[in-house]
Amino acid sequence: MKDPRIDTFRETIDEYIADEEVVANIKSSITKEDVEFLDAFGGLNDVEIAFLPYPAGEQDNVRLIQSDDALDLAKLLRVDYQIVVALPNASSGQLIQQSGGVSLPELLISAQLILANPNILSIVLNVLSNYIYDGMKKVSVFQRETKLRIYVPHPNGRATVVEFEGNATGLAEVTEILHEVAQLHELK
Amino acid sequence: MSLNELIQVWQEVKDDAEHFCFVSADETLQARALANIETLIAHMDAVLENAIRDSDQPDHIADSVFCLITSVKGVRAELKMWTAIRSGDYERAWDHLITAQGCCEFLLGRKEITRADRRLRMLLCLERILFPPQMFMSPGVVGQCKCTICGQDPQSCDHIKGRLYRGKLCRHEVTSVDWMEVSLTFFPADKRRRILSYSSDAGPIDKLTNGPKRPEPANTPDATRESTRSLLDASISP
Repeated sequence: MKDPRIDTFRETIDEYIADEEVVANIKSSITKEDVEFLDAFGGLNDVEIAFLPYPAGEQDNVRLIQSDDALDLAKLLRVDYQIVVALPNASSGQLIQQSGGVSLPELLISAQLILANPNILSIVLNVLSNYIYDGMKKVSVFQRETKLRIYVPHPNGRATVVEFEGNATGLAEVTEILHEVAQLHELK
Repeated sequence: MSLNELIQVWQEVKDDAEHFCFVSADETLQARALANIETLIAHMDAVLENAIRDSDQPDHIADSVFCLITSVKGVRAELKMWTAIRSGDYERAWDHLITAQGCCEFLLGRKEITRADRRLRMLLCLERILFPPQMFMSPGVVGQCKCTICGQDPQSCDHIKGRLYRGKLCRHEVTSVDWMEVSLTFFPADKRRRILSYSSDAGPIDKLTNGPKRPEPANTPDATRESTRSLLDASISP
């Protein structure tokens, strides 16, 4: 079933893409803290796709660990699609959150990987979509909400932020929009 | 017995049992249907064992039998829920309802069993109609797990959690835990982890009956203990 909000979402993005001024002025949502966090994993520069660990715990006792959902998803990509995902801090245990929802990690996908394999985004988003759908079987269809925020970094340090909110099945349609945003960056 | 013959028997027993999945159903016939289901499950467990052991049989035979057993276990839980409601044992009725839901969830999208989605929808409706809204606990722990198929660290094997491998369900067994937090939620992974009672001026109030909490019978397992037992169960319900 197609989520009607997809069209609204697409229209909003199309407006952004049509108006270069708007694109140029999109607020950079990557904060200084985000940069520091990413720098802490300098080794990831050479990696094509990675799941960032989740900071779990209280203020003075924060541990960066992978969640069980992240590890399961990485395994699905590896076993079913031969896509190897880097999982920093995976060996120090996994965060097992026994809730009815699905909480996925932040993903890093390199531009080189997307250029080398244009289908990679479709595959990853399809697997994400199916994983969320399976994980939320027990939740009433009226409560199956998915939120996704995607940063498309620009060479000048800014980033276009693509936000999606809707049901999991609509997630797969985000790919096309991402390609459009990426193409726009390439042209500029 | 061939798989087709087994399916025929399964269908007959299951249809008969579903016929008595109501609170007004005849008590004697309901008990007889439950006994038939127990016999069928015992028989099917033996068939599953053979299918797993017999290397000449393809993987899908054992997988199909596993799904048939799960489906019957769902109907058994549903029957037990109605008998527990009739006898006023609401705690147990709740647990049976959640087990029945878990069986249906497992069967969703599997080609061996159809119409599990309809059954699940009905069970979710029953939860809303039969019981007052509940509040649940969702623990967050940092732990190590092992795969139930090969016993290895799940990151080093190729088995996917929730999939069947020759009639065996892949789960991740938690081997060690470091507690992080416990959250209160309306959407837990396991609805058996519910808040059992709360304090009031009039004494403890039972969350299922909204009345004074009754003392636990001496010969039944303590509900809190049951709840704690399932707290760390990272496996899939059935």
